[in-house]
Amino acid sequence: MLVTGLPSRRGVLQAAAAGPLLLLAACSSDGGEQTPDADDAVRSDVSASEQRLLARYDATIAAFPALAGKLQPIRDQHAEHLAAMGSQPTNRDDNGPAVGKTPAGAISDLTAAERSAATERVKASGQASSAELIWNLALIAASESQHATALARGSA
Amino acid sequence: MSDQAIDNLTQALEGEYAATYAYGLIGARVSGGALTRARQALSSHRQARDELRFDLAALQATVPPPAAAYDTGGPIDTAAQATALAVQTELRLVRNWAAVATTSAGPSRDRAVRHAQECATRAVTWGSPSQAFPG
Repeated sequence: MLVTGLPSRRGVLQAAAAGPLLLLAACSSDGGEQTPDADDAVRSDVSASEQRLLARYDATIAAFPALAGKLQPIRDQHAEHLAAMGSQPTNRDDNGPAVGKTPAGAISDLTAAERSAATERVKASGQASSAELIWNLALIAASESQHATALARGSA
Repeated sequence: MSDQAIDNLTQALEGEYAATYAYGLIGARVSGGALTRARQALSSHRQARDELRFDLAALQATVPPPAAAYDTGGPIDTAAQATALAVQTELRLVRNWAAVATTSAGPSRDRAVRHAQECATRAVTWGSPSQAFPG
């Protein structure tokens, strides 16, 4: 997934089309570094995961607008996580991820996704080197645990 | 182990002492499911406190004793005040544990992050909204 070596203009444009994950990796080589450092790889992985979560929330809100009041604040918190990883949300060209057939099913799916994300963030924090990244990942892990609990409890 | 690591563990221990004190007050002001949650939280915080005392002792660092009382930000006479104290106590600990994570590695860091998650989750069960960066 990571772009290695100095990116060509075409490579950067392809990366931009593929999403900020690759763009981030490509940009990090501007300073002459041939390989992104380990923390960049962690940020890239977490950014990709946050993008997927954002897409799931957007698709769920589009399918069930009545859930927007509950889901939009959580969705926006994922956008803050993404920003802390140095990425921006991207507009997707495809139809987005599949959404549960009922509002309850969709909430249940999001709850499971948050639990998985919270577990992934613990692992990511273990791979990080800089104190700032560890700090951010610990708080993002905590945030996503809150999301799972809030969704399961029926409140945001 | 760096001075910063010991400082972070010590701050977390102070937070867990304060939580243990707070839940003694909280438990006296709530009932039903909230009382059950307060008891479970008290048990978790006692265990975390003991882990931190153990960790500091293992590093041959000073293990501070608990204070006689901790600032609760005002009287805890009602269930609403008790619940607000629970939220505040848990959210402060999220930051303490995140700080411990920054100066630990391997299983110790994982454990610190999981403590941060547990405290953040308990804050939500006491009525806090979720936050992008809890605490």
